Amino acid sequence: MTLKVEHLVGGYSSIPVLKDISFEVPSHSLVGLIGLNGAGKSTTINHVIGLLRPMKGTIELNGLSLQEDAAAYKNKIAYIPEIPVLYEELTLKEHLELTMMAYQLDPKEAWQKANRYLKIFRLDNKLDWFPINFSKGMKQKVMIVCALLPKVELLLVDEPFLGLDPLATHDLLMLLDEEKQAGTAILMSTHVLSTAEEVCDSFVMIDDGQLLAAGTLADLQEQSGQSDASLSKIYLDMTEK
Amino acid sequence: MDEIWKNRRATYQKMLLKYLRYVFNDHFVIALLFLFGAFGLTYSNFLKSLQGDQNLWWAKPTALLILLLSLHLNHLATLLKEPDRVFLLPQEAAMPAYIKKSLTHSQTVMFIVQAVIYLLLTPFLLFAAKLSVVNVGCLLVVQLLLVLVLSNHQAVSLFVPAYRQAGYRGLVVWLMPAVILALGVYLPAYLAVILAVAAVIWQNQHDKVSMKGRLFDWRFALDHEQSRTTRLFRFFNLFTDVKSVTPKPKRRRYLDRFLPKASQKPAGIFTYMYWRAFIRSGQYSSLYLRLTALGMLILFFIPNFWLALIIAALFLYMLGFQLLPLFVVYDEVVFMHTYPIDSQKKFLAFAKVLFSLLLLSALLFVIPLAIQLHDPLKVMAAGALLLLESGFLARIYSKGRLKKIS
Repeated sequence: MTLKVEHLVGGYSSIPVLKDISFEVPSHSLVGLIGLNGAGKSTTINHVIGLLRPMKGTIELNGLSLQEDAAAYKNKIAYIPEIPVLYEELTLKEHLELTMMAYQLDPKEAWQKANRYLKIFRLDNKLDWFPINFSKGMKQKVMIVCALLPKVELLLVDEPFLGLDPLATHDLLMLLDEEKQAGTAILMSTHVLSTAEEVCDSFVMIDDGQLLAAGTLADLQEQSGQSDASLSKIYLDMTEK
Repeated sequence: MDEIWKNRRATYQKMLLKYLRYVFNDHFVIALLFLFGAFGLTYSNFLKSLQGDQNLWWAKPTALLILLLSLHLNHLATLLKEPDRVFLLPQEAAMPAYIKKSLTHSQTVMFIVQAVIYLLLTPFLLFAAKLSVVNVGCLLVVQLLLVLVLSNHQAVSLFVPAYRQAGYRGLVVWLMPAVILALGVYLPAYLAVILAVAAVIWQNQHDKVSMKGRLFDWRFALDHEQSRTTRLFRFFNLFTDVKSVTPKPKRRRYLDRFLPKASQKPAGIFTYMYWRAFIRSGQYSSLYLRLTALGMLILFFIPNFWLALIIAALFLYMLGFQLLPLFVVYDEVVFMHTYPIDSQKKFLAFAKVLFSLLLLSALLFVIPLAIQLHDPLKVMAAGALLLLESGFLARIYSKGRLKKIS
């Protein structure tokens, strides 16, 4: 179970933002997609979830590409956007039901799962509210719960730490770890490098739409020739070059 | 702040001008001329029919009610914008002066509006309510003074929360004007003028005291301005597309039991969403209700079968046309693209929802027809035709139109 991105060139208009990016996200692993603002993190994720079409290169999940069978591909991914997006007219409960309907989940099992997550994020008493009126952090939690409901093979998390309180961040990391143990491949974009260094198994560093380096922290330290440098030190050195 | 106000006023007037061009397009101006002519004719006939010495006990209360309600057409335009509460925060001290400027501007507009309404009402006051010319003149002065009181109240209530409490508000903007106007209508009107002047003076004193040490209530002021512009745009929206403000969705819990439950059917997900979006959005359901009610109301007054049928068909078409954007209501939500859902089913679900809504309206339109016509055969024929139209609009017409917008 692997996400394979090969020689990806892409962007929003005819001018490519991403210039020949290749990396892999194996199952049972959490890969950090590291880059500054505007480096191309969200663009990469938008390509993987199919909002953007690659100009060149391929994106495959277990050998299955979006072009071949969109429905099957989408069934295997879930996405937590950076800015929470919600249906204005739906309550929290209805958001969850909608997710269950979309992924054709068994309501009984899914609700068991949902109730646990809702409890963790202290949303269990807000089922009948419109999440559009929630605070940024609470909206983010709704996104997380919805994304964790289906059993997927690839989970995409775009900059999850902004807006979450420390407890919620801790809970999110615990849940991501759980998913990882269960076999999910997780690609998480972030520029909170200290947290990324702690939790990610390996890293994909991009800058200005180009791949700087990829590998575990040890690999990166070796590549940069600094054996005990922190992730942030390595990244800053690389972007300066 | 002076600059800001001038800029705001200029862009606001430009915006009004832009939309008014759409409102007063050629067809509408012609229709308006006819309407105005018809109104004038009916009005003068109506007044003529009142000549003589019938007991017109209802004329004075009616005049009173119209005057009182027309006072409430006025809304203070502060022209504040959402980001102001961040960017103008350091200008707190300048806010009273800013509001004063906007108040003066709004009052000018209000005076003109009131004068026009009063002019239209004057024949009624003279011939139906049988007021003397002097009294009619005095009453105009009273009306304008009351505009002053009500608009001042609006301005100060942006600073003083107590002004917004239902009790105090009711007293100042409903009870007091009602009493003063009643005096003007039933007794020699100069008494009302004296009272109105007293009210203005009392208010000025009172406002000065209440304003002391008060901070500008940004949240209330922005809400106030937002709801004012929403009303304005909703009006413009009848003539052209207005992008800016859409009303906030409401929970409407009492309607929950009518909504479709979550289901495992592939089209279920879209039906589920469309019904919820329709019922709870401020936009679609209110539009639907307004058009249906208006259609029914008009049909009640049309005794001619063919004309009634054409109007019912027209209203059904307008309803169908205006509800089409519901189709793309969630297209901006990223999950519509990332969730594994079959978008082929989307149109079918939408057509079903649209058909149900149109069918309901068609049934409601048949009620006034049935009351007017007393001819079961014709009524059934009309019902069948409207049913056919609903089906056509929901399944065939919408397909063609939606290809263009989505």
